[in-house]
Amino acid sequence: MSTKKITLLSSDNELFTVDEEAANQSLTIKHLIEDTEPENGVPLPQVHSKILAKVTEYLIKHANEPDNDAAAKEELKNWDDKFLEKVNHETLFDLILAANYLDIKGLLDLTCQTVADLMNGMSVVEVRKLFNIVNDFTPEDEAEVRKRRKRGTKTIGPSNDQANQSNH
Amino acid sequence: MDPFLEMFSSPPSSPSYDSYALYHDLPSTGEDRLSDLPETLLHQIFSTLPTNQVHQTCTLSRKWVHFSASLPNVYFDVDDYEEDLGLYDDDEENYSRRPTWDEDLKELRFCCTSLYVNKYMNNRSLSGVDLEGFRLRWYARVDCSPVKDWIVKAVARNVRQLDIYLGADRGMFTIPAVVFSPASSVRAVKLELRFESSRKYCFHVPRLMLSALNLKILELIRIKLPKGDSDGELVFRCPILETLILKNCYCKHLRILNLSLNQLKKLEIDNSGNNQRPYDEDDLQGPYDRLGDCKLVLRTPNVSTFVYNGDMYKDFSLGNFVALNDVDVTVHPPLVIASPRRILHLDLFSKVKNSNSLKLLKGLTSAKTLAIGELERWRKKKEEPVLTFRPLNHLKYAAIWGLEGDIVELEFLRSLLKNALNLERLDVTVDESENYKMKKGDRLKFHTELMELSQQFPNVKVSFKSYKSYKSMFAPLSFICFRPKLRL
Repeated sequence: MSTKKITLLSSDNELFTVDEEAANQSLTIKHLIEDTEPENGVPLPQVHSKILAKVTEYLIKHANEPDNDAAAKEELKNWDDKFLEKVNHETLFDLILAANYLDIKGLLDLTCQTVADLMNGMSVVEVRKLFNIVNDFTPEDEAEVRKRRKRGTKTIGPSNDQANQSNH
Repeated sequence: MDPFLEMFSSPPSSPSYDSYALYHDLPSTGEDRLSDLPETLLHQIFSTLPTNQVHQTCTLSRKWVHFSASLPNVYFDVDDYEEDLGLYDDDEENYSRRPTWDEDLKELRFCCTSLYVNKYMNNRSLSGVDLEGFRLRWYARVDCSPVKDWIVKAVARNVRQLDIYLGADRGMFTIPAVVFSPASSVRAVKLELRFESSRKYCFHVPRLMLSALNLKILELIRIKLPKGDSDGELVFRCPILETLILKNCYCKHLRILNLSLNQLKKLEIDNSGNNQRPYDEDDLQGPYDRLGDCKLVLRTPNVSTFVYNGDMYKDFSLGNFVALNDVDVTVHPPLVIASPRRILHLDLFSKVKNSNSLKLLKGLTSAKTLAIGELERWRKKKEEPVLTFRPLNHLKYAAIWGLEGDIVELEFLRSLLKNALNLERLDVTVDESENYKMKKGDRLKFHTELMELSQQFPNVKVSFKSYKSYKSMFAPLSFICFRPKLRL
């Protein structure tokens, strides 16, 4: 089994060493190796060491994905869940951007799904709180946007009236 | 104020909201990282969320007002929109306005969703951003006419995939012809009449569909096919169509259904839904005959996968299946009961010359795998000539199930073994149910004879199994459990 090592260089000049097989899950790294054959590590100026540490952790774990072994798949899935459990929002979004830049499909799917799961079932106000989205509408604008979304209810007044009555 | 609501009305920077940062081990910097993501990543994130939640993003902040109008795939489900349309929302006022009566809610939901989709599609057609897919699940009490407008708008935005599922209590709906026009960008179409729709509702497709130039995938479920020509013949000739799926489509008004599809690779016909509603106004009662006297003509030289399930057409004409290597022909027992007239046409052993099934089998000279089921429903008489096969030089695997242990069946199997020179494996399954009255001794005898037969063909691995099917009510169940899987 070939165990050729690949060295990755983060934006703050930290070195990470992984097996070639693990590194090749990132199409960006794979192409960089093929095209430039770098001697002192593959330079990844867009990825900070803090994030690259997480990324390499993921790459090493996913280097040999099981094909048909249901138990191994289950174990890997549990590992994925744990992998992002203790990650704050900052790191999560950095991981999304890194996975996108490094072209690691599995990690991108996992992180995007995690963000979607966080939002699932939340109202607009809750989502704003969750991701620090500043409501920059003027009160008039917001009323207008809401009104546009609710115009439907205005056209069937009787239903609203009945509903109101039934609530009182 | 309700404490729950009060919580939401505090300013966003309030530290009491740290509990929302579920995944924290470091203090949040308070940056809005979500809004800063590139649009393609946002599309990926929102692609897994319910549609109503995607569309409510327009009220997040100014930046998000047009986000939902940039999505490549849009999906509207009439059941999804209860929350989104202000029936209850994040402000207190609307919590109390939520209707409690089911009927009201239904009506309200329908009107709201209708207006909402209207608005969305209007914005979309003005926005200039192209669509990839448009999916709609829709039902209404009376008519679905606004849907036409949305489909036209989606096509104007160069949509490539259309998936429409709709129904109503009465009236009719026709898919706009522009979907199938030569300039249309649509490559894949799935049209489905809602399962629970009333018998009085009709879902039409335009004749232009039959010759759509750009269509690659077409799936029609419970749809009434267009009228045929003066001879009652309906011809499909889409030049690049590769996949065609017809499930429980109505063709009683046709004399011939002709599929002349040169590029077709996969054909799936399923007529197994026996009690689903007819379209004839004067045929609202009694068992439903969807196929009538319609004949099926296949001119599909490149089909490599052919799946047939359920009721048979009156007649088959197969042309050449040059590339065919995967065949699965199943006759679903309850259907035969639903239209007893058809049993004659499935009478494999007594009417060899007219048998649909025989024609079908004779057309399969290049088949690699073959599965034939429920032979016991095809009435057979010992005095009639036995079905014989033509040479099947490519056949590697065959599964015959639902046998009763009859001598005629042995002849049938012998013919199969003789003509399939390269057969590697044959699975024979015998039905032991009481209603077929096979005695235990007969089964053993049949088994012994089958084993003797198989010894004459040492290259073939013959396996013999038996099962009990239950009364016709459960027949589909046994059909699913015991039907062998095709393998290549």
